[in-house]
Amino acid sequence: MNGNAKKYERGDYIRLIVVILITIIMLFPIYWMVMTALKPMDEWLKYPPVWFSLKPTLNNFKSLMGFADAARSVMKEGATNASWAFLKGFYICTSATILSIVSGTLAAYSISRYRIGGNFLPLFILSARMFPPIAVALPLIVMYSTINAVDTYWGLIVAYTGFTLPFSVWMMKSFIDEVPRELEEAGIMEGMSNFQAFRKVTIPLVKTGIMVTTLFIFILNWSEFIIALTLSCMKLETVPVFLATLFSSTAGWLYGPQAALGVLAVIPVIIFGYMIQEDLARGFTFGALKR
Amino acid sequence: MNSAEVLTSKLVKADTERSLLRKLIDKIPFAVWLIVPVECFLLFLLIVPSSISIWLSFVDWQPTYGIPIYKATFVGFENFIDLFADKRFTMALLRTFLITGVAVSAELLIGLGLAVLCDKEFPMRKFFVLCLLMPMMLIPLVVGNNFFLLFQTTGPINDIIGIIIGHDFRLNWLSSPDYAMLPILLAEIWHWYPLMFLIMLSGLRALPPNQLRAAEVLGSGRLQTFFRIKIPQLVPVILIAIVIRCMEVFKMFDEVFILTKGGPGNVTETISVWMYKTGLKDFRFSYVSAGAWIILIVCVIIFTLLLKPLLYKVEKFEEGGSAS
Repeated sequence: MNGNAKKYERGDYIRLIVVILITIIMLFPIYWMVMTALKPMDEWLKYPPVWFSLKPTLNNFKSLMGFADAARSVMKEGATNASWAFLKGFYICTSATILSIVSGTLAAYSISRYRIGGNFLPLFILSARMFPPIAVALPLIVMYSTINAVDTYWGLIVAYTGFTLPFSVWMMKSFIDEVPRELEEAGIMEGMSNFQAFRKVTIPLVKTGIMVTTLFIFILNWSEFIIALTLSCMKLETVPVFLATLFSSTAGWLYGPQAALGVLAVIPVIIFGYMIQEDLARGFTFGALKR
Repeated sequence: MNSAEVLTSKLVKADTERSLLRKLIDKIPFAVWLIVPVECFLLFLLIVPSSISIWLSFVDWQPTYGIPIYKATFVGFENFIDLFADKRFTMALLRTFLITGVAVSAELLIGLGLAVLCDKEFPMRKFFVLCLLMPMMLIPLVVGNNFFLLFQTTGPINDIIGIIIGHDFRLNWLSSPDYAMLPILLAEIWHWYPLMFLIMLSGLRALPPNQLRAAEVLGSGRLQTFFRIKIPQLVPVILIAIVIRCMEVFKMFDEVFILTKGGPGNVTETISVWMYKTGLKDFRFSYVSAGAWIILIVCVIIFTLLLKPLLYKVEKFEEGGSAS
């Protein structure tokens, strides 16, 4: 921050140069995505490639979201636009996140305070994350088709909730473990019931933890692709599923809109990701690594 | 008058019902009530599908047969026997192990290298650390899309190679059987090295400084300090990072789906892609269920055995660290 206060040695500047070079290489794919999203149609496949477009346009974004007039749109006529995918995806992800966080917090409290299920239950919950989701998705389709849940909102929301439970349970457990037990015991001594002690003592103390876990689980749901791909056919479209439809051979090659959708899809994730950046390691390691 | 009587009787009834409910609530411990929602989800999403999957793996059934699932013919272990003879399945399994090994070790090396580089202060350190973390914040499918754009025949990668070797270079990476694996591996490594970097960096910066100073005073060189003092203290952290990354890479699907869809031929097929293609394109549900069970048992056993001690050991390690 205040460069004057610190004295840097020459080695530190060499280090800086090395880090700048690595950063440029590592951020190049992101730069290329943003650049492609801004390119007009004739520059998408030009060879040699256009490294920096001199005539940037927002046409890709407009036709992707369905705002461009038909004559200038690069999308095929009659193609659905991405606005719906964003709305539907947002609805599905938010509902699934809320369900997952509520049931996950309750279970985490039970596991943390009462050691319910011993070592088995937490690891059993965790096992939902250990094998490829498609292994469960196939029998799930069979089950869903008998109860008419394929391509319904609640079906996908329930599936999303189940697949993020390991994270919400383990992360919330790590946050609740940090709250001293004695506080709740004091509350119970004062005449609170068990549930009141949980609601009025523990919940306010782990509020930040709940926020962090919520954002983390929203990111996971927003990025999820394979379950949405298998459990939806026409009606439901999350953003990744819509991106995959742009790749199908019937849509032709839509490099610009693909990149534009990539940029738009990533914006909420990047914002939330940087908001919880200090707790990301905790999230991905199921709460094992604290800051 | 009459209606009032009905109302009171209703109220009395509601009261007794309520007290019954109360009794029920009191009878079952509070801790059990708390896990009811999670148990419901697990029952609905793990236990019921698993039982369907077990049944499927022992019968011969496809949705295209047009018969209900419970009327399918029982074939015993035939699906499993076929699987072990199926070269496509075993190759996909081996390939997935190989990808996991290569990608996780590359991520580990890059992450550790960058963490060592960014451990000491230099101008704008925090800004560059945040920049280097950015790939992790992307969606897997978008990462696939990024590498799809980069590895086009007329894309920038071919252009750079062309500039370096001095003549036109136009390789169609994604449909070449020899090189199609490379973009997938690079996408995976590029997407997840930041997690390793983040974990290593916070691990390095949490090391107690007095120990490092003691080593310096006693005359240990930089390399010696690194290998003898820093690395051993990082081992629990590194192990848990490796196991969790292995778990995630093993499930890899999105990048492969966008980049090659397992092709050309089957040379880039991972186990998830194999399950998707055989299950949802060829509709061989029974066959895939049998395969899924093999993978599931292997995964759950391996990862539970690896994770269980780690998750509890790291806790102890951190408690010990904070106490000292």
